[in-house]
Amino acid sequence: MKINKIFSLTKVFLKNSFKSIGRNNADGEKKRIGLILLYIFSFAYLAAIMGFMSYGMIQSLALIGQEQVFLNLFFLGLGLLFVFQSVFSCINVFYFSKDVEMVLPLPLKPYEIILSKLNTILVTEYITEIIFGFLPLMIYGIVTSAGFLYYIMSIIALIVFPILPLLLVSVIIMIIMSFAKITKYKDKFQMIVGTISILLIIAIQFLAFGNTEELTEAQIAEKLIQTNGMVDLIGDYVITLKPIIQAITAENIVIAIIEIGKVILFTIIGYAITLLIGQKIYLKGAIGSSAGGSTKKKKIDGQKIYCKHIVAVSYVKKEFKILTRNPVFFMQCVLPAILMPVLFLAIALAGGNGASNEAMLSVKEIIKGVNPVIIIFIITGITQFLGMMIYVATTAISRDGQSAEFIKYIPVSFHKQFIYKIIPNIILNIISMLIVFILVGIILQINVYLYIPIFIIGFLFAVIRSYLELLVDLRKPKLQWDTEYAVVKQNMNLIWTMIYGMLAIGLIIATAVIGEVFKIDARITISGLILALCIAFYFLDYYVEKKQEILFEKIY
Amino acid sequence: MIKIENISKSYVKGKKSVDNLSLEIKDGEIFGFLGPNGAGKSTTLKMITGILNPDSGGNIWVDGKSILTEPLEAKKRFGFVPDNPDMFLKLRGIEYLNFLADIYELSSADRKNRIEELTKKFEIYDVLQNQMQSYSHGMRQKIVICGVLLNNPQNWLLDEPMTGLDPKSSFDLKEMMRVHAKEGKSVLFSTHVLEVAEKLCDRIGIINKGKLIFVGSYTEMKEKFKENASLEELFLELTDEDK
Repeated sequence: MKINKIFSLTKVFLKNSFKSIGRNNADGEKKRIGLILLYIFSFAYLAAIMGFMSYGMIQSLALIGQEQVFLNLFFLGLGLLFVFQSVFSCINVFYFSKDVEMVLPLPLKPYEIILSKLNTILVTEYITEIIFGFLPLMIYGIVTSAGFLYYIMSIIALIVFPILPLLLVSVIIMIIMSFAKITKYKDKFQMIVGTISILLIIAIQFLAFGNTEELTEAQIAEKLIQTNGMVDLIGDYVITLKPIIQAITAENIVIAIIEIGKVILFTIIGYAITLLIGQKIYLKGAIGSSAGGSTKKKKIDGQKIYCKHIVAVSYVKKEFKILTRNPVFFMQCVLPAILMPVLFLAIALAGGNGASNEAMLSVKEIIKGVNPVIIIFIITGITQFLGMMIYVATTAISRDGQSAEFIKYIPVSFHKQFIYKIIPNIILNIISMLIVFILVGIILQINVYLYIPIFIIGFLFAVIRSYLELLVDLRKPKLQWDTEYAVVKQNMNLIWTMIYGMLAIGLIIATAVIGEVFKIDARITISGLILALCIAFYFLDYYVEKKQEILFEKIY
Repeated sequence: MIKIENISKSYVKGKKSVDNLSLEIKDGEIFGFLGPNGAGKSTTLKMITGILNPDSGGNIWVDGKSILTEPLEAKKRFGFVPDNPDMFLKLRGIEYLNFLADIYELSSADRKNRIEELTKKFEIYDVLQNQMQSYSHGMRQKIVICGVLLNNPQNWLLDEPMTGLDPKSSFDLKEMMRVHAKEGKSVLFSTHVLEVAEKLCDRIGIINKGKLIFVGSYTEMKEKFKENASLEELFLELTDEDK
């Protein structure tokens, strides 16, 4: 009976977390298929990258007969990934999830909730494992011509391995949450953890990009073995690591069963400890997080707080406050505008070391001979490429959710509100552009005057794209949502941000080609493009002003 | 004054949520809008405020300004409390009120007086520096009401305003409605609480399946139907389709 309860609870939690994919209504089916295809494509892409990387590593190690080192690195990496994922998932699923409030009043024992919640997280970790874990192990088996036992043990290992890191993290989090008041700082916590994870991913990419080019296979193998030294040290503290590897690589079935048996035993003990601790302390933390609690009193001081602003300033400030205070919106809409160009900057600067320095010098030499109009178009193209990652205008209405009807009953025209809504998008595009300018300034040292046309063209493109993106959101606003991810991730409208970005880049290339083919003076080509963009902007704005009542019709 | 003339609204083709409704809320009057769930109360309020456009044919005037042809002028003349107070929860209470004060172009001195007066009355002054997501449902309801009353609009439109309010705040709001009406301004609110409508409203309107089935004072309603029946009984009789 209890197993049944846990099973149905797990099902409910899972449905709740994946409900946006499973939703079916009139036009939902198309969206659902689109989303599933998008997920399959992204998963396949990531899995392929993992496969190629693993193949490279195994090959390099095989050259010196040390391929087993790969398994050490692989499981340790996977373990770290799960610890990391568990920190984020545990705190969200156990404490911040909205279903906690629904479940707490039900006659359920804490361990039943904990087990169901653990299952929910485990399912998401298995999905991660399919992407990152499955292919590398299979490739290892093929490269080392492993036997049947290897594959069986690998699959059991993949099933058992994620559990212990998850249990460990969940116990630590339950202990912390039973006395710490993290729930009070939910937004800040999510924002910090989110930003750190993005930075970590960037750092890993940066390290990978920074080094691989110059290394030979033998050097890679050497580096991997050096890393393996560290792994041995850490491995002593990760109790399941050695038995798992021994089980997988065992040639004798008895040894394999004994070793995997050890892992299963450790996992069962882990479960028992987690449930024992959870039974005692989970509810304490969970109740604290679901209750609103008392609202702290803070004194209003000074006259400045009542200062009057013009509507435009006040409106745009409000938009920015909501964007930056909501962790999901901040990470998905604001952060990319700053991080992506910085990432660009980081990789380019890393390329400035050693051998690449010469390449950089030759690029500078080449640039001196290139038609400045081409440089202008290339850099403008880069700014538009980075602009494709800024979703502020595409989600401007949807982000408001049910508050969006506010737009309809305040005495400010829809046309004006349209403009206030896209200003944050334009500002973030400008910030992204300025970071690119700094990057280009440092690396290529191009003539300062070239920045003026780049800025004007980039700015006009940003404005026009923002108009078009908000029109997309107005056409199909997503106002009924209970998680912000529905707006910034599971939203097909976002594709239009990319399409418009690509069109902008296409237009830039077309202009450059026309200029080159017909040998048109650079000043005329650029002025022509600016004029065309100004005309496009005029007509777009005219259209929005004329059709404002119809455009905002879908908000209610 | 709010004047509604022959408005209809269909969300789905062939099914009218509001059917040819005409109504006038006079200055100095508190008007209660009653009806079962899904009767068309919120849809009517949303059409008056411009959130929804009525199907072609009818018109709505707020102090003589049509919401269809002079929307901005009409919107300046009312304050609207929606049924869901979960608005801009990441803003602090004071930021939300200042934002509204900017929208309604209140001077620094005026807004200071009004914010202090209203929020102290509703006992939320001390939490104005907190983000609204930390507020309870009732507190959110109160801050939305404060926001609407900031510029002291001529017409108040409130969708289920008593929901979630504690008895004191509910009493204060009713008192404010009475004072507002005494000053010659109008109040239109929807409610499920029949007792509130009975004690507070000068006139009530009962809507069922999109049609206005009764408009008048409570006494008139009693005269027209059963003299000794309570409002609850009358309401049930009027809205019960089997009878």
